[in-house]
Amino acid sequence: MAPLLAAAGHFLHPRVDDLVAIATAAAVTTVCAVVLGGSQHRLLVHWFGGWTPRNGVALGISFSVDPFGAGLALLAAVLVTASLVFSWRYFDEAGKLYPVLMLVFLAGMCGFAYTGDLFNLFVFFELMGVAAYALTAYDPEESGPIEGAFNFAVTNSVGAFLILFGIALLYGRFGALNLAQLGESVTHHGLDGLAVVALALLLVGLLVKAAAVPFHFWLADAHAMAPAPVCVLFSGAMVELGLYGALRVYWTVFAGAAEPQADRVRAVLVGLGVVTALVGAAMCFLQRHLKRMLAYSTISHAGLFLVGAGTLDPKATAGAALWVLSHGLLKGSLFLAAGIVLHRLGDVDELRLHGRGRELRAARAVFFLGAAGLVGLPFVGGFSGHSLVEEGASSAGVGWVSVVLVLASVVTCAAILRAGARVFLGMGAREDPLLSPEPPERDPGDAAGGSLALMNGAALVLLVLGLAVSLVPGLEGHAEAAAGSFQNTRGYAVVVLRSAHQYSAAIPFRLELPPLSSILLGLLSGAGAVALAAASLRPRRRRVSDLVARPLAPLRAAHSGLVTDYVAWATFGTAVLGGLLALLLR
Amino acid sequence: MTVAPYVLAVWLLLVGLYGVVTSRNLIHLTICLTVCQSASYVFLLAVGYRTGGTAPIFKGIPLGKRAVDPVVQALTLTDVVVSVTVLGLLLALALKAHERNGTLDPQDLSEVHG
Repeated sequence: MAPLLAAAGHFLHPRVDDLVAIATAAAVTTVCAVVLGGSQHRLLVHWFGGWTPRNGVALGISFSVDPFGAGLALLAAVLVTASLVFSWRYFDEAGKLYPVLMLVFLAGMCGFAYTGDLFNLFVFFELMGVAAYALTAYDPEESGPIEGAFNFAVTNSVGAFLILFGIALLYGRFGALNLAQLGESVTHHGLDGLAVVALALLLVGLLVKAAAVPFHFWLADAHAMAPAPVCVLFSGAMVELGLYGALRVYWTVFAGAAEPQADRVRAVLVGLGVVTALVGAAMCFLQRHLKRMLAYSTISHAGLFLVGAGTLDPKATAGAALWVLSHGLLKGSLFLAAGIVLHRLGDVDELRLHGRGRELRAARAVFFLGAAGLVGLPFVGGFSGHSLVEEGASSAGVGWVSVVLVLASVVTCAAILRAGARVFLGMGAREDPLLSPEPPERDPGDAAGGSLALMNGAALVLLVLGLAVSLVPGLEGHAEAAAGSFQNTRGYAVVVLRSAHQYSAAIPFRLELPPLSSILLGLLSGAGAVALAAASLRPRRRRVSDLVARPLAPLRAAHSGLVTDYVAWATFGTAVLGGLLALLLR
Repeated sequence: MTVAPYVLAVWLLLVGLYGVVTSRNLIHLTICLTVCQSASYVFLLAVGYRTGGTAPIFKGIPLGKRAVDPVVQALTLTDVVVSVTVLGLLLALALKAHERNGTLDPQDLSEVHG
């Protein structure tokens, strides 16, 4: 069975060369593509060791693969392959362990996306986590990466404990760990206090990974410090997997019982997403550290995906999935471009790099085209996802979120454009008091290792793939069908536990133009982003800067870089989210 | 079955979190994190405990005898493995941080913020 191979294949080569690693990642990509093809029409279920369920009672551990899970695994595999190509001889010494960690990370991500068992989900969560912590600190020549990895590891471990508590509660109550089995039990017993607490704990734990406010603090520190090719995976796949996990658990286990209160669940998830999107966008605009700026843009986008999936509407969920796909590829290419800048110019500071990137044509193209794809200009990049989320949100009765969608996309895109204009075109003022404090100087590394052609190639391939997502005909129909089965609690349980085949659905091939309003909105967002970027490049009076900076000062102060504060925020967030859910769902 | 182990587990979790939040030393912080993790062991084992049950080894005991739940014990074991991995990694990072900066206080280490 293919998923088995996908997960186990990595461990066959404990010490690999870059080449073997790339070949393995490419092979996994192929396998993931085959799995995605196979999952199009029915849920793929594999029981390890042949422990198939008897009379609808599952004792074994299963992989249960639907198109969303398979698609995310494929995205992760593509990104890992691109990152490995990019980092060909990127690390001079001790390079041996890097590809191994990358492949273990990929194994964790694939397993997480494929699994149909709650405890297995936790194990893959941790496997993914441990590989990611180690990768963050991979270049421990300076203190920054160590601190980033430490914050990342501690915050995510706290999230993992909460998940484990949630699992123990569910197991103690229902005696099952299989998602489908749990779903049947919870639906049968109804949503009592214990189930609500378990839901809250599981959601919080997984949303720590998905970087929802106030659990998002670790992300910027980890991204700013991790090597650029590793950031590609963090931003493009890992964060989205956290969100996928939260929604997967909700839809397979709790959705049946929470059906009558779906409105309230929607309110909580959309609210959380809106706050995340706005906080991420504001912080993104204040950064002068290129990778940190991209990291906050990821937080903002993660919030937008949470809004899309949190509406619980199939159309908006499909939109979020398409958006995740294009965002993963585009953000990946942007991080690779930042990596090229860092590698060639030895710096990631927007103001110090003023005009120094003129020679790096590929990175320049990636920056501007990637920004255009992220903001959702008509027919490129995240446009199809964006417009589907808007349609779905208005049919779910929360149409007002499209204001947030546009606002967050415009601000994050403007920040990328501004940085690109400064670094690659030498435009704008050399000083900007609005931006964050100057990051410490790095030692100018010798640009000996690495091949610029391969780096450019990897970044450009991801860029083109990401831009093309909106152009593939019929993709929206597939995504909507996948969202329908993703949200089909009953169907999932029946297929997993009774191996029924009622999952298949004919996918209508539609080729309709998106509504004119979303095309106009896309153009408007693009224009807004260019205008905002231009405005922020012009030298300003001190007073104007102060006017913008003052209301944002508390927000800035909250991002203190102290892991102790982060855990305090996470505890506070857990209490608030748990309290809200308990109040609303009882 | 009493509620005592559950109370203990929640107490351990809260104490551990308090320790993490107020910590001024990375090693101390890591150990507090391990205290949180211990809470999950206690919780898992409490969930699977059956009053009067024996260890879940079914060789040489009469059929139908009450035994504690082996699944949670397997989960706990997995959890221990995971925690040791994370603990080892965090201590290694703390060691590196000390090597680099000569301090273990997170407040002196925070280089990037805002």
